[in-house]
Amino acid sequence: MPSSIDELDREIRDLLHRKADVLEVPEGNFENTIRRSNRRLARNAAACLLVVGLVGSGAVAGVRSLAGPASTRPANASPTPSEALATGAAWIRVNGPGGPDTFPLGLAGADGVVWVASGGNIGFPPMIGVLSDPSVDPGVATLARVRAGTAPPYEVTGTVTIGKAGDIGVAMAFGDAWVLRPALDRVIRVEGSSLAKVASIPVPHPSGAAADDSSLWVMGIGSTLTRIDPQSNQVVASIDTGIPADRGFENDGVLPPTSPNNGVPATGVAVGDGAVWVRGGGRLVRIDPATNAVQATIDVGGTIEGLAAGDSSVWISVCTPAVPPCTWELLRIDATTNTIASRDVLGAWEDSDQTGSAGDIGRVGVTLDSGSVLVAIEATYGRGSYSRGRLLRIDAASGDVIASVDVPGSGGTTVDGKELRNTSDLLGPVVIEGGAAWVINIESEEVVRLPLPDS
Amino acid sequence: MSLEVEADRQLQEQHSARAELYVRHSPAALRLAFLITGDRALADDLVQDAFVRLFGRLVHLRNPDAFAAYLRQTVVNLCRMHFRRQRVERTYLRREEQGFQEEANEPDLDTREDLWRALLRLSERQRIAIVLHYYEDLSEQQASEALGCQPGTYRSLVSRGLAQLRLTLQGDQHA
Repeated sequence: MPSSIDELDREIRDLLHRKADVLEVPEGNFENTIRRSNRRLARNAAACLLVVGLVGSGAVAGVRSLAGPASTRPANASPTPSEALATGAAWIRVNGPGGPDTFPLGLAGADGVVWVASGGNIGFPPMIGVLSDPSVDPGVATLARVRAGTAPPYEVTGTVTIGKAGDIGVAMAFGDAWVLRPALDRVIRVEGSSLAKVASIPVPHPSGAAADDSSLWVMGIGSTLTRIDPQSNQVVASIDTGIPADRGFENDGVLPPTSPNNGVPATGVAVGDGAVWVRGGGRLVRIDPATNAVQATIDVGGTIEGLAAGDSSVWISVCTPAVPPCTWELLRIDATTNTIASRDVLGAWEDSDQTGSAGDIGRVGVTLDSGSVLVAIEATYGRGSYSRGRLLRIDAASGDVIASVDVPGSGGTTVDGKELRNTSDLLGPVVIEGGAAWVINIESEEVVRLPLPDS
Repeated sequence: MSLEVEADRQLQEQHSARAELYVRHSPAALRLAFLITGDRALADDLVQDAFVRLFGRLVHLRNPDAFAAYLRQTVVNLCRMHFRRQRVERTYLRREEQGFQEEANEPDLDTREDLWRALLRLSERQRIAIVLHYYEDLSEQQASEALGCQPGTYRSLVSRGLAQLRLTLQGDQHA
């Protein structure tokens, strides 16, 4: 045994170098790495911004925790893939031959139109707020307008470029599309019919947006909620929500902690009746639009991903603890008391590796539709990157799954030869337009229109 | 130049850049991962994972000189994630009880295997701190960032790790 501290120091140092120095990198590892890297890029790069603006009410200040009277109900959303692929699906590509080489990251819909924001080709997760290396041309980001009637054709009716490829999102409000470019610190307003860029509004790292009758609310990565007046296209308020800033991927060698967001922006916003709700990390914050003040802060403990506001309830999907392995739950927040009213277990995310483990749920988006909750989950099965998107319709009162449908792939193969017919990788929640559900399948880089799951 | 040719050229350049990074940095990453995990095959996997993650983020590296730091951080993170997921520490203990069969397959003329075993018995964070300190020769600031903790916590981890090593070695000697 070493007799002195110096001797032990020396022996540890010598031992570590002796152990390490004989190691050599096996041949062929680089090509394997490149193949896996390409597959990862194809599957995962992403961030989707979607906003649900419905109605809600209530006002109580204070910080609350999980220890409230919420009830916990058993798991009701098995991630095991069924064979019940949706029939009657339509697939829309907004990129590809002759078009931009980026793939969809953001989706919004209204007035018979679905807007698709594409900017992905830059790796996973997208580095929000970080400019691309100027020596590499990543291509261009685009906003495409897709006809979303009740019957075909569901064709692209216009496309406009929105700067270089990179993280991008879109919200629909006041008849126009509002494009969020976190790396540019800009919200760009695109006129709905002419596709003219009518305003470029400085907003720090915009990641999500929602509108009420008079304002567009934009949540950034960090604590700031920005209020924009659509008449003047000016920022009229910047509100500190108290949500901790996400540092993103900094250039000092420090990576962010593993996030269960899995490509979904770390913060988001939804608007209800008399309330604006923002999420970030494990915190849900209620803002009073009359005063721009924080009315309530609810700490739920995990990481919130999906967010939708309704008449008297707010619905969120949460993975607890904050990093995988974690358990997904659907929480209903009572908007009259700002407390957790119910919790429903959706499944688990055991393995954050790109290929995932069988049964893992990687994303859970939440949307409201006709008094029920639509949950979009992305589940992995058969370790080896097979995933299947699934839409669940959940009864708002009981928490029971009353209908579900699996999202079909469109066919073809990935760069590493994987069949896409039965696989899909959903990003973000569902947009409901033209009596149908619209989702992004980032595996095939398409937007999919499919019938709503009915009971 | 057609768009197709230009796209091919960009792909080639991208491939070359990645290959260069891989050749330059993968040996060090492999060694770090091995010293933290004590498992050669696992270290291979984790390093491949680390490059997969970073290759997807290359366009964001405004300072290419920082790649080594990104890679080190990613390797440490992946090792920690792996420990957490797989409860590898328990596996290590079981393996050690079985006499480290993997090591036994490789003739080792060194007499310091007791120290190596003692290192592998340390807690995950203590072991990473020891490796960052004695093998990577990082500053306190760099090492604490790689570990995601305060410099004081890092100092404590190294100090307690050393104390634990001495205790373990004393115990082995008296056994």
